[in-house]
This record gives sequence, C-alpha cells and structure tokens, in this order.
Amino acid sequence: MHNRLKVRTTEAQKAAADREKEKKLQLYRKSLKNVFEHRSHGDHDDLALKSSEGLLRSNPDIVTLWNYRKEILLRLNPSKEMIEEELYLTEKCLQVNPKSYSAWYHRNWVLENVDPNPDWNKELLLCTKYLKMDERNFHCWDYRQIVALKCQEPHENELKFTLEMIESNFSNYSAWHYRSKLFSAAGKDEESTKISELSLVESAAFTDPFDQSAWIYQRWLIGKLEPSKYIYNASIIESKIYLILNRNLPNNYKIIGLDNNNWEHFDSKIWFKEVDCVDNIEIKIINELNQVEDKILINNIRQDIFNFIISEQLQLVMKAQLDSLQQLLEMEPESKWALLTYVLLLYTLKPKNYFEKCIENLKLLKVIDTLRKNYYNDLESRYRIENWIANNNSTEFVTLKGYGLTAFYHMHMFLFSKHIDLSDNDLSKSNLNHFKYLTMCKHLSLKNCQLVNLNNFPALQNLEIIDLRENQIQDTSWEELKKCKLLKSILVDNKQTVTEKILQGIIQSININDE
Amino acid sequence: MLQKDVKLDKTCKTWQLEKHIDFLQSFGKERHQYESSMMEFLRMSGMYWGLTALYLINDGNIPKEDEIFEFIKSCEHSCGGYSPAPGHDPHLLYTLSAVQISCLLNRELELPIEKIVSYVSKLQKDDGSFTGDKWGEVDTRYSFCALACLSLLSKLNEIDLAKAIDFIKSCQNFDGGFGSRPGAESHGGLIYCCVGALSIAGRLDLVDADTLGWWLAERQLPSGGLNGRPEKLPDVCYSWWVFSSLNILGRDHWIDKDELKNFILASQDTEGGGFSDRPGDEPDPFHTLFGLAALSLMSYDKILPIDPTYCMPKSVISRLGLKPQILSRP
Repeated sequence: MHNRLKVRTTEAQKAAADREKEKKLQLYRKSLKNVFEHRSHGDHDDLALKSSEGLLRSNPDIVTLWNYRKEILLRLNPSKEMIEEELYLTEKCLQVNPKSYSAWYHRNWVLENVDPNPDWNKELLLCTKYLKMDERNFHCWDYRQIVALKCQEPHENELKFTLEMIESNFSNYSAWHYRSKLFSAAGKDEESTKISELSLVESAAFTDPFDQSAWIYQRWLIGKLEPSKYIYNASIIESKIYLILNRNLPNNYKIIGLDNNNWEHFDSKIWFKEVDCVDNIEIKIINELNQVEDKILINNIRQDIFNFIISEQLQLVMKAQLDSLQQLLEMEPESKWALLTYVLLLYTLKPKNYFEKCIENLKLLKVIDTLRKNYYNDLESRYRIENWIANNNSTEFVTLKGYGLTAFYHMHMFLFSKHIDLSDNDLSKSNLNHFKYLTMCKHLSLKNCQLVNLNNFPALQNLEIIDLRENQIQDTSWEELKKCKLLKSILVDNKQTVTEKILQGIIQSININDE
Repeated sequence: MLQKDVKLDKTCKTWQLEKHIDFLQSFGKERHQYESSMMEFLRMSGMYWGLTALYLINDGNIPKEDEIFEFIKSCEHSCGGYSPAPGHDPHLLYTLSAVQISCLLNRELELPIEKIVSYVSKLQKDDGSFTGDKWGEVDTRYSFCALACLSLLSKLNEIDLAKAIDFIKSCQNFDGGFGSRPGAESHGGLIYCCVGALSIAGRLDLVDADTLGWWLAERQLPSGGLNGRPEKLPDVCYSWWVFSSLNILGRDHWIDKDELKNFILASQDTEGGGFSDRPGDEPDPFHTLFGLAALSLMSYDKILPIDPTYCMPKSVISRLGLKPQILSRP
C-alpha cells in the first residue's frame, strides 16, 4: 500500500468506515464469485466479458481477470467495436492506477494478438498524452519504446519528443535515459553527439543546479571516454611474459605476438605465458574485427595509462564547461553537483595541478554531502593510487604510506612489486583479499593500518617480511599468515598483545622484531 | 526546485519489536480482514512477506505451519505453477513465493519439484528472458523469480543460464542500472532483481559496480530514506531494493546507515505495529518485511540475519547449501 495516509478517527467514524468496508467487501466477493462461476462454466461470451469489468475498474491488478478476458477475446473473434471497448477499459484502469503492470500489458497484448489492424500511431499519441500528465511514469516510457518500434517512428522524432519533455521540465531523468538509448540505437557519431549533448545538459544543469537528473547524464557523457590503451605493463620475469591490463579483456578480443595461443590468465586483467627467448617483440591486442586496439613493446610500462585521448574540439567544450562550473561555484559554493562535476572534468582533462585541486574539492564534498562521505573517501583512494602510478616508472618499490586509503583499486598493477609500504592507512574495513595480486612481494608493511584481524589475507608465496606494528589484531586471525610459506619475519610491537607462542606456530624460524 | 523528500519528526521513534510481532501475527485475522481480502490476488506473496518478517523477529518461529503448507498445496496447479490464492491463475511470482515459504518451513522437498522445474523452464524464451506466465509478459523481475526459484530447489541447471544472463545484460543502462526490459529505465526494484539474479548465477563481473554503486548511493535523501529513481520520494521498500543491491556489490558503506535506520524506524506504526512506505502512512506486511530486512542487513537489535540476494533468513539459505555471490569492498 503506497501513499495511504494513516488518519486518526473517532469511534463513530471508525464504525461507519467499517460498515462501508464491509459493504464493499461483500460486493467484491460477490462479483469475483460471479466471474469465477462464468469461467468454470466455460462461458466465453459478451456477458462473461462484462462480468469482470467493474472489478477491474476498481482494481486493475487482478491478473486472473485479465487472463479470463484474454481467453474470451481469443475465442470470440471480436469486432472492431469490442476491441475499441477493450482498449477503452484499459485506459480507464490506467486512470485508476497508472502503474498497473497488468493493465499496461493487457493493452499491449490486445493490440498484438487480437486487433487485426492495430493503430500504433494512435498509441504513440496516447503515450505522449499520458507522459504530459505524468512525465516520470516508467511504465508509459517503456511502453512508448515498444510502440515507437512498431510504428517505425524515426529516432529523430523521438529525440525531438524527449527534448520537448526536457525543455518543459529539466528534471526528467526518464527523458534523459531515453536519449541515451536513442543515441546508441541510432549509431550516431559519438563525437558530435557528445558535444551537442554536453551543451544541452549544461543549460539544464545550470537552470537548476540542485536537480540530479542532468548531472547524472553529464557524468555519463564525461565517463563514456575510456582510456584508449589497454596495456599497462608487459614484462618478462623468470621465463614468463606477463601482460597487465587496465581493464578486463573483452571475451572476443585476442592477444597476438609471440605465438597467439596458450595465453593463460590470472583474471581477465593479467595474462601470462612461458617464453624462451624474446627480443623487441611487439604484443598486440586485436578486437573481433582483427583491428589493433593496442600494442606495446616488451619491457615497457605506461605511466599515462589513465589518460584519455580527447579530440581538440571536445576538449574546447569541456574546458568551457570547466570555466562555467567555476563561475557557478562562485555563486553557489555549496552546490554538490557542480562541485562533483568540476572534479570529474578536472580529472578527465588533467590540466596543471589538477590532482591537488581534485583532492581539495573531494574534501569539500565530504563536508557538504556527508551522507556519501565514504564514497568520496574511496574515490579519493582511487585517484591517489592512479596518481602514484602516473608518477612512477617502476613498481618495484611502491610507497602509498599515509595516503588515507580506504579502498584498493588497481592492486593488480602492483603484480611485479617487491616492496610495498601501505603503512598509516585505514584498512579496518577493507577486504585483505585485495592483496592477492601481490604474489611477487617480499616485503609488505601494514604498520598502523587500524587492523583488527587478518581475515582473508591471501597466500603470498614470496612474502618474507610483514610489518604489522601498531595494529590491534586478534589472536585468532594470525593463523591466516601460515599460508605464506616463505614468511620469515613478522614485525610486531608492545601494542600488539599477540603471544610469542602463536607467532611461533606460524613461522618456522621465528624472527619476531619488537622495536 | 526543492528536493522531493519527507521531513522526519525530531524525536526518534522507539523500536516496537513486540508490536511488530503482534501486527504480523494478526494480519489476515479480523483486524485486517478487509485489506487482506481485497489483496487476495497476491496472497501467496503477502504470506511470504508476513512470514519472513515474522521469522526474522520471532526467533525463527512461525505459527500454524501445517495450515500454511496446506494453503500452498491448495494453490498448486497441474502445470507446476502456483496461484496467489485458490481460484486464481498460476504465475511465476507466486510460484517463487510458494517455494520460499516452503523453504522457511523446511518442507521444500515435499513440493512436486519436477513439475515446478518444468513450469519455470518452459517460461524461458529464446532470447533468455522469462515471461511471468503463459500470456507472455517479459520482465527482468521474472528472470530473478526463475533463477531464485530454481536455485532454491537446486535445479539451476535446468534452464539456459548463459542466455538468461545475456538477457539481463541487455537490460543494462548508461547509469549502470537495469530496467524491466532492454531499453527500459533503471529502477531500484529492477536493479535488485538483476543484481540478485547475477549474484545467484555468480556473474557479478558483468556489473559496473562503481558506476551502479554510486547511482544507488545517490538514492539516499536528506531524510535518510532511499528512493528508487532520481527525484522521487523515499519509500521503505527501497531501503531493501537499493540497500541490499549496494550490499551485494560490496558498497553499502557508500550511504549513511544511521540515517537510513532513523528513516526506517520513523516509518513504524507505533500504535499497532508494522511499517509503512513512509512516516505517517498505513502499515502493511510488504513494507514491514522490507523495513525489517534492511534493519537486519544493518545488524539491528535481535533481528535474525537476512541473505541480501534471496531476502530470506541466512540460516535457511545456508541450510540449503546456497552461496550467492557477494562482491567485496573496493
């Protein structure tokens, strides 16, 4: 029961209401019994059809009644008038409950299964009429897509309709959504579409900076830019070649170079295979049409893996938006959506000092949008890790000390790391299984990471030293470290109550450091 | 434009455990005769909502188990589907509810499993989608119903799972969410169905967890409540659809749980028990289950733990040996 306000009533009012309800209930039961009787007698006539009308008009969600009507209609070979009446009934029912799944479906079913000449153009007009009354009715929007397809309405016209809807009220997420679908379906030139959509969305967002519809659409337009490169790192280690990607390799893509077969994978971001001798070999990633998506020479690392390739024209548009956002923020410094979009645009365009500005504004977002502060914490963690990667030409020594990390993005990019310093971060709620990629790591520092347990700590086969000082780890979870077979040294301190006995059970030649 | 939201009273409502038990036990009896009768066309689901809610706050105890199982039997059809009540037609929605209740009662093995499996698998279409019944309405809600129903009976292998997944993927939108059909707008309830189905199938890799997680986090309004789509009012049922999806995606920390708890507690009926869609409205079993289930997911008071994928008690899901996929925090 949605939107039914609970009202206080006197005893007398309640008694009257109860009597009214009782009367309604009796009538309801009687009518339902009547329909079911018709059905059990196998009646498929006009009278049987009429029997369920009243009930449906007051409650259009009784699916069984619609089913019975379908049975009758299929048997009756109905006249044009009867079909009209059936459609009229669904209209009446939708006025009672515009969100009735079964009334919408029945209408669709009648047109597709009973009506020999369905007038889909009329349906499109009906959708327009309903959407002008309730601009967010998703049942109607969904139905409109079916109808538009049936009457082969050109995408252009539908785009125009969404534009009209948006112009009459910018806060129409349903219309923005439909635009996203129409563009994909029309296979429109991405670049020009993006530029024109960005300017449309800008005027919407500026008209009402607190309405989220346009902003979410804008984030999508910006986010649709994918880093053009796949490969972060291609290296040979102990007669194996490893390929580290920045995102999952699509199923229908292939890696070529060396011979093309026998690539194994850790997950779809890390690929490897045995090799004998290799000089200057180029590895390529090709798509399903055999076009090269990316290529790299062996023993190369790409620091710019998170950069986007943006055309000059699009850059101009985005830079202009950045300027207008700055102006908007001067007037409305607390506009969360403007601030967030500003950060996203900065991060995409990466102008001078973008990183510092992003971090500074994320801090502000945590204050003005406290409900989602943990989201911003995780986003900041991602940005910080990406920034480290962008500034280092080797991952052998990784230092993410004191970054305030709460999330662990791109850990797979540290596959070749031997020393990782993650000290002074808050890992209290993190899943330590994220470290499963650190298989070559020898020295890991988790000093002062607010750890209370080591649950899910992965079996790191090369780990020799782990620094766990300044944490409060429970005795029971130390066992997890037993999986690390080469572990020689665990650094603990006085704050850690773990007994020597437990630690001795974990590593053979114990070397407990208590500095 | 002002943000659509509700205003909560300053004073926080106290937790009404006993009254909720009372509310759920009395539903269907005299006090709610009218509502219950008028809602007969969805009674099987109504019973699933009420009984699951009661199980969670009544230490796993459900009264009149035999009577309930008899009711389920009375809704059985020769095709293998279940209707919401005797006299009505079978439908996938009520077939799932019948199976869920039977699992709660630990009596699922007494069901005609082969027939149910045949009913459900025949509803799958060539494109992998499922219809709700023989009349052909396609919706991702039914994909969830089919996958949940069959997995509860350990019969997931009886359908074309790969195609079922392909169909769900085709319903994915620009915002990372899912709608009822390809092209349809993202909606909290349908996102739960799709994410839930992918969790059952172990294919959450198909979800863009960061994009969708952020969109779901943006459903939280200043009142603490969650809405199902942008610029809509909050509703207690989205405390489940949206919050459980966030939980499955390992991102439920992206909203403020204390504020959500406050909103759900404010939607209690402190007189007669039960929860309504939002503060001040009439309570019903639907919102009572989803309010309690969300509180359970946040480990509130003595509510038994709930499984975020199946919306059934965790103990029942582990008894059945099911391990729906859950993503870890980033």
